[in-house]
Amino acid sequence: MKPLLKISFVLNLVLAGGLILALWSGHNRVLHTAAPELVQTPPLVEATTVSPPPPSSEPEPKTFRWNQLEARDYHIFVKNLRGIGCPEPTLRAIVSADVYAAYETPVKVLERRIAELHAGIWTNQLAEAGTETALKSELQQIPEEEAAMINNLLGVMPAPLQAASDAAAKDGESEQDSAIVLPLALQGIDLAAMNLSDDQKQVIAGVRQNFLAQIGGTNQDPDDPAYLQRWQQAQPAADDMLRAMLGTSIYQNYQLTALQNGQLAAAPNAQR
Amino acid sequence: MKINKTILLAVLGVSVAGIASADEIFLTGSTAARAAVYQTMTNPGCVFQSAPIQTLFGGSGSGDTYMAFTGTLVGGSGSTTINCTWSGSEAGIVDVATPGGKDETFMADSYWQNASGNSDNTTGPASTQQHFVDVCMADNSQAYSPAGSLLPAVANQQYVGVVPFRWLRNDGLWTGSNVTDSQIRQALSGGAKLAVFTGNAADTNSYVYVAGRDNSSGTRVNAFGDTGFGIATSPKQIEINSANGAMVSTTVHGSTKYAADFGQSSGGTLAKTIGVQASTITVTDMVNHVSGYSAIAYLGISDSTTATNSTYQATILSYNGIPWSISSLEEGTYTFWGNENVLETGNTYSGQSLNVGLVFTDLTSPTTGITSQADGNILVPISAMHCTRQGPGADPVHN
Repeated sequence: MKPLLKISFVLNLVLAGGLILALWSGHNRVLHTAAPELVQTPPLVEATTVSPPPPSSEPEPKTFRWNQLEARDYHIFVKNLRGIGCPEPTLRAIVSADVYAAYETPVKVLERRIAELHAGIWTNQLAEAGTETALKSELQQIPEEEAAMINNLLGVMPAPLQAASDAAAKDGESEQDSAIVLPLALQGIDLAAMNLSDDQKQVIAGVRQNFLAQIGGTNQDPDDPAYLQRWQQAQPAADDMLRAMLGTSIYQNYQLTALQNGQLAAAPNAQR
Repeated sequence: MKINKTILLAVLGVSVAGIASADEIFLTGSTAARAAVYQTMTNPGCVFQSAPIQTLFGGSGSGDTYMAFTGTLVGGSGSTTINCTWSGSEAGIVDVATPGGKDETFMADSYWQNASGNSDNTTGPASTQQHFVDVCMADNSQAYSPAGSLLPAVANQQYVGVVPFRWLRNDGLWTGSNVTDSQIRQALSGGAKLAVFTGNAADTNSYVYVAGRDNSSGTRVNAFGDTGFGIATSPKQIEINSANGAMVSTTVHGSTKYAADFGQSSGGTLAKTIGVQASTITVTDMVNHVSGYSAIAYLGISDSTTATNSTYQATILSYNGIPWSISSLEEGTYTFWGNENVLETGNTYSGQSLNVGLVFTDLTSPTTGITSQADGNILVPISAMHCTRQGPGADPVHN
């Protein structure tokens, strides 16, 4: 590993750790796992000062405050973090920590109920067999839901998770049909590590650009069913396009890299 | 002074009138779509109200490299000339999508301006002009273009039919009749051992290569996309000497290469080289330095017919086990085909015809445009297709 890369890696780890601790220490932000628009109150970190910005017409370097990043919508909070140059791995660590924390209570509740069923008398256990299966199934789905939510929050634009849920409930669609999948091209992959040519990097940018055009741009109402429909049509098309552009071999490497980064759980139909 | 001004205005008036009367639109792009465009241009009631005057160079009829058609547009008035050259699909997309425009080489205006009737010349025009492009034909949409996908979207783009392609082999060591995606991908990477094609364990001392097109080609986009090689992946193809079947060299970063990212600029030339009547069984393989080689190639229907006619001796191959037929293409079992599109530039330039949009409308009309004139072989009309797909590599979905 090159020295600069090592330094960068260590710095990212330190920064990620610091930010996670800071966020956890003042954890009055609430993540509602069922809703796409996440209510957020600012973390209790005050007057943290970072390095001054590069020389400009401003006479005095500005003091950075966490409240500059605050937003009621978690997507905007992520956007603000990106805006100050927060490295992607750090950003992922922050978002992941918040999502895992948000799911902590539901997981504990499910585990407690399963444990209670086990502790009951055997006749009750027999009667509650169906309930236990359902609870276990719900518990098993949580990692996938967490991964999907992390991807959603890290996405370029908010994915209409709630709209998907509503639409599925309304139309009686299967869970798989209503899944919101982030196109592979939009997953946070380190392209530099994939030894891609400039042409190949350009076509990935082209696929991203085309996907954005297909869904109508970034400023969309996540509750709009038409937006959901556009997304669901554009996503497999974007994956098809990426595979055609990069070829099967590189596409599979791309998928593997995403898998290693824990991002592919939300892309069940990417493999063909 | 007053007289001079009057004279000047008069001269300017004449000049402006001259430009206005020379209403000219420039069209380029896919060579695979050339015959279908020719048919649409010359059939009265499609683009022109009555049969236009044809001025053709560099071939014969619908196969000419340079074409100009003069007449009154359907939906228009006065005289308009559509000046065409066939640069290749990818080059066409870049021409119309690049901000400010990129130019192509067209026949000089004097040829069609002085034409008194139809003329067809087998050789190219002695005089040419460089000009911006208004409309292009492409074998894939702009989104699937490696060079065009990041350029601003064109003003208009319309799918008008399906352009089929074929894989062929030359008269080499390999004498098989079917080719698969994985064989093609290996061959595109600089050559695959013959054993991969024959299944014979002993065939490890000779190789199969791809003789292909350069990166201006839409056929190449579809071949690389459909096989999973990757549209934006740089290949190692060969070029074949059309006289004796020998491998042709190119220079890459100062060194001589026989397998590289190069290829023929036209399907017609590729057809003649893959079909050359000179068996490559004894020709030296300059890539792996052994005696004899085999080559496969991708071509449009018209060019593949040339490669297999009595003058040439290439063989048409099944693709992934599916023999070529129009019906297998229409049902989605044969997958080597592209979506033919007409693209209208969003660029404007001084002296540009006001009828560019009208020509786009005429060409894309479902009842009288290109799709209505498709012959069902070189270009398959939309109405005949029982399946659709977004682009090469995507699965054809039955209607």
